[in-house]
Amino acid sequence: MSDTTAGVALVSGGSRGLGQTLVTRLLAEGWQVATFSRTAGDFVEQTLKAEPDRFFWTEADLLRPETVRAAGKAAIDRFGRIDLLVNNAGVLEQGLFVTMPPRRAEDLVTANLTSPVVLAQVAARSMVASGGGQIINISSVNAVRGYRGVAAYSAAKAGLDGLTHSLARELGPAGIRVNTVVPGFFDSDMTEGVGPEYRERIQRRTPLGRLGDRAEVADAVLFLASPRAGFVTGQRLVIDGGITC
Amino acid sequence: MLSNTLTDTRTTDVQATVVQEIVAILDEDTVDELGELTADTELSALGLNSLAFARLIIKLERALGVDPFSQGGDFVALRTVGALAGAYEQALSARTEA
Repeated sequence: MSDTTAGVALVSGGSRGLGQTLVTRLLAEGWQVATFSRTAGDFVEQTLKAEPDRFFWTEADLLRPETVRAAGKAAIDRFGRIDLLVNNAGVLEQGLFVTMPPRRAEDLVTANLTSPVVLAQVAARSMVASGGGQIINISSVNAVRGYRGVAAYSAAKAGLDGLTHSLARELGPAGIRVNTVVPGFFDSDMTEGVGPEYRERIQRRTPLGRLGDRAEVADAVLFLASPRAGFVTGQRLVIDGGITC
Repeated sequence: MLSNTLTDTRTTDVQATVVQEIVAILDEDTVDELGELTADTELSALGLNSLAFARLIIKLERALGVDPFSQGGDFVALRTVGALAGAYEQALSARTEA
């Protein structure tokens, strides 16, 4: 890690949505940032040009955990270490569980649980060697409350919560904090397919009466990544306007 | 002060690296207490907890480019510094042959 930077962050799925916001905010706060996604896109191309020394992107597919492992190792090759991992990337696909093709259910678990576990191991090995770090897993309110049509996705995200709790205990003595951020319903690429009627129902049931903003979720991630959360580990920070309270 | 060499006549670069990384992980008091590390030094005498031992394995992978335990090898069965170095020598020669 260079003395002039806040550290090295690896954000999965940083080409769009919440991941894009996180990459932008972390760069603004002085981090060196590595990310991966299936395709680069305009944001990645522009950021590579603007921040050639502090930004790194490589291709990886959540459905192929070996590519995710390679992406984590490529980030370490590029910046020498990982101080912060944000397991942000996910895949949401809705459908009745009983009629969902088995392969699709397996894919949802691979993308939302297996690949994040693989990435956490790559990052944790770097952090153990360097003497500390942080892992922040992005879960979902679907892991807190049951919702129809998202069973496999919910199961995978709940698994991510289990990963947080166990890793916090196992890695705490190595100076590594592990936490979960649980976004509620917020405007994102993943929720853009939600119809207006359903969106209105969500807003009605949310005590704060609106959907969240991805910047508000990023705020929670940046808080947990900051020294202000230096004594926080193994916790779940829910950013949902109160819908699960 | 602890020497970074092994007294065993089979001393190699690998063994020296293993000792060097062990010394880097130990605190000064333990280093003073142990004296010179040899191939026969019991790993249990190092006083490393499981996490510190994991850190050693990760750092040795970085230094030597191999992890003899990545496929589930049992490092708990290794009793001495020399045996640990031997595991890395075997992994390196297996990689060379492959």
